[in-house]
Amino acid sequence: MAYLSEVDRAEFALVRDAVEVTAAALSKQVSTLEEAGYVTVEKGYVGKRPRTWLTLAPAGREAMARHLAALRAIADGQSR
Amino acid sequence: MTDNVFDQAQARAALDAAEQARTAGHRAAGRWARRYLLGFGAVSAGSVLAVWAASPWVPSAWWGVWYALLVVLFGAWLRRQPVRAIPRRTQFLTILAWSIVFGFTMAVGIDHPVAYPIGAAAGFAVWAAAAWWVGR
Repeated sequence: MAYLSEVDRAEFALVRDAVEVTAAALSKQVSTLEEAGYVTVEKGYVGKRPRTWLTLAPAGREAMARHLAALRAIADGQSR
Repeated sequence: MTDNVFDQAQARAALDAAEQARTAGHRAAGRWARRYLLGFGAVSAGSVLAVWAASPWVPSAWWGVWYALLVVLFGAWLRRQPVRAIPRRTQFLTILAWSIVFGFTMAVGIDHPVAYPIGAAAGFAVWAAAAWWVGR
């Protein structure tokens, strides 16, 4: 989600390589995020090759911001 | 206490991982946007030079078709990008500025062929400026 927050949309394979997980692991995570409405998945073709594009939905962007804020609160609060 | 330290370490590790992924996304976005914008700038400049070379033999009415083909190429090429990261406003303004340069070049080039190379350079400059803006 952090990777997708910087782009309008990105190809599944590119995200997989960037976050260094297997296609199966990413696929499982994407399915969960898609069910939650955090990520939208678009399938199509470039020439004859199938492609899957991932987009961070507005709800996902908000959820990620909340999650990061909570993480910062934990990190900051306990370091004082 | 151990739990607290563990939570803090986990939180920091998660924040670091998110930051790394965000940075990777930002770099990929900039790289693909620059590649796309500069690539299309080169193609559009080349097309104007091609018009310059072909203008003595091709009726000027065809340049509207040529322009439409370039816009279609622009859209198709954008769709093929593994990462789409050009802000819509930048995209719109770039196409608008380039269209003005292209149209002006075609209009003036009919009577003054020297306008073609100048228009090609100006058109490329529009795309290069967009690439700089996106990648700054």
